[in-house]
Amino acid sequence: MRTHEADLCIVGAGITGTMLAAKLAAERQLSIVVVEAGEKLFDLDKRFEHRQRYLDYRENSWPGDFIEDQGAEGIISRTMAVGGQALHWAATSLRYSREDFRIRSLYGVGWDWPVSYEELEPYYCEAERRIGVAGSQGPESEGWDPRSEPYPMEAFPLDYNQRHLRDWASKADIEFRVTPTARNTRPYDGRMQCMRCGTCNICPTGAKYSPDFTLKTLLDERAIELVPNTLVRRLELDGKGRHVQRAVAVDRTSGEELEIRARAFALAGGYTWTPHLMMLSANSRSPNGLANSSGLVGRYMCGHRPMWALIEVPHRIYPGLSLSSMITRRFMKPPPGNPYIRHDLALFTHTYGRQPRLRDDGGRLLLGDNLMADWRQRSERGCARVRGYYDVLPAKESRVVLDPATRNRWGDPLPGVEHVEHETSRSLRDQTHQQLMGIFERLVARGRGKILETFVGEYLDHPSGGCRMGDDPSESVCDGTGRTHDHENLWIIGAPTCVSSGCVNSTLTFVALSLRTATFLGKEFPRRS
Amino acid sequence: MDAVKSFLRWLRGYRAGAVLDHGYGFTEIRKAAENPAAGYQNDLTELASRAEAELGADFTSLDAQQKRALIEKEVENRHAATKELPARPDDSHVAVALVTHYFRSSEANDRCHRRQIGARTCRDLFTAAEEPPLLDDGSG
Repeated sequence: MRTHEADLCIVGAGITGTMLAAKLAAERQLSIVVVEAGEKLFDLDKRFEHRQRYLDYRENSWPGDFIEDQGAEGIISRTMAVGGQALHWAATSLRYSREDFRIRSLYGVGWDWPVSYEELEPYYCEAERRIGVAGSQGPESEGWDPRSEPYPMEAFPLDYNQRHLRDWASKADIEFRVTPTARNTRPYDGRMQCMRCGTCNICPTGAKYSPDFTLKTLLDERAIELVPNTLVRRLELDGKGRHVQRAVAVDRTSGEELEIRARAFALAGGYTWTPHLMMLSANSRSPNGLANSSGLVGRYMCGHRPMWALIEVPHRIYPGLSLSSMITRRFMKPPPGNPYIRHDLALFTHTYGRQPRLRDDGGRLLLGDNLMADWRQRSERGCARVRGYYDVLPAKESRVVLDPATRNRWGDPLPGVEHVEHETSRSLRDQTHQQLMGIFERLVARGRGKILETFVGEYLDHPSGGCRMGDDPSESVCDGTGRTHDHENLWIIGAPTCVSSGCVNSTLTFVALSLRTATFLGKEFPRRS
Repeated sequence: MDAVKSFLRWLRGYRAGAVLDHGYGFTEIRKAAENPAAGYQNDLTELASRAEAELGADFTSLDAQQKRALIEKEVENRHAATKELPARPDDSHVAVALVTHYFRSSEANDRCHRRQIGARTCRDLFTAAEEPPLLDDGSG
């Protein structure tokens, strides 16, 4: 059996595993092996070609970024590759608000985190520096929590469409600003300035941050060993059951079994695959899986629900001009003691009802000049999408399960994710929707618009949880640093540790949590001189 | 003719069975359908037969109005209930596929708005603040 040995084994080469590796390699003396089930897609030189195939044929812009027999019911993405889902993320980089970490204390619902905004704030700054975030800080009165450092890059300029939409929304007394993103507004960290190619899912220039850039640097510097195409199937404990001794894996290309031995193990597989691996690692001493004395591995899966309106606005909107959204945080901070009704609000351009079509409303066939004339006429007034995310508190039954009926080719049962909303959250759902509808109606009334359609998602966006952190080992899987209560050398990284989901995109929080874990995990190793 | 050339180039580059985009939020792995070229060839043959049967002439010799009338009849037959254009050319009638290919393009978007937007091109970051310049095609 092939053996890899290192001081630290990181399972998963997505954005959180990458950030953990980068920080530890820079600050501590240790050997790091990063094991990833998917392929290594370092293909910057091919991205223009992939982008063109995507535009022309809607082909997968990241060929080879998934594993055929490694899917699951209820997940949000099939991507499983070196770089993870942040290969084709939109790079939205928002912080959770100060309130998110204390919702029990402030609103009497859910659970407080064992980490405060103030404790996480320096790591938000570090995350923004490492991935390169362009943004502008709004006033605290508009819900922008204080920050100790400016954004690393100036925000994206408001484009022509956005200037009109911002002015339109301000008539309803709502002030939007450009959403911070990890896309370069100037050359940054060896990557170029954004050129508005319009395909952020496959950024052909590298102006958008994705983890492959960091991993490539770490490999060039020989700071880590990367083992791709290798699926970790279980973790095994030492005789006393306090330490993970080795990870047993399979090389997906050759079928060869291998082991990774390390002093410490960090699981960075995200909200589904991390608890899945812990459950697969059940043994006679831990029959419910590793680190699961609380019975909460794979429990309290959370996320936020989207609700939006498509609104006709009295302005021409040019499709293909706007690449960013705008956001306001003012609805994220109800005063303490008020009902837990809070959400963000983002504003996008949209082409609903303004696409070329084959028949007009009377059913008349449109070809050639008639089609163009119909399209032009319908494009005189534009469309905006106004979207709110609100936190959905999870029930304990919101969970990852092992599905014995569905197995990968190695015989391991695959996971399924079942989201179950906490009754507190269910009881607030109608009021939250009413509040959002009220905002949509105010925008329409003040801005001479028209609601064309509304939508409430039945899925949860930016899912997390499954190994939540806490001070009480009977109510959590790991402590506030990410170290599991049950095993001294087993750490959970990023998304699974979240207690709740806030009401903005979560990736920046996952990264900040990972960097914080790196600080504590790093104390196990000598400081780099 | 540029639109036709572009469509033919698209058709030559088609890869049946290629894995399609499955980004965030889309977990089903879908593959590109069979190459629609054979179906398009049948559509063209059918148009030629109709021209011969109804007008006693070769389709290519018809004037634009006659061609359009025949094409519209064919499209009506095949797509009576279709209101929206497909997202990209598919197994619909060759005329609909050609229309789709053009009207879903960045060029058509510019023509619709009579502005140089260049939705599919890589552009300077800071010019977006201004209204896109007028399209210099005589229609702006």
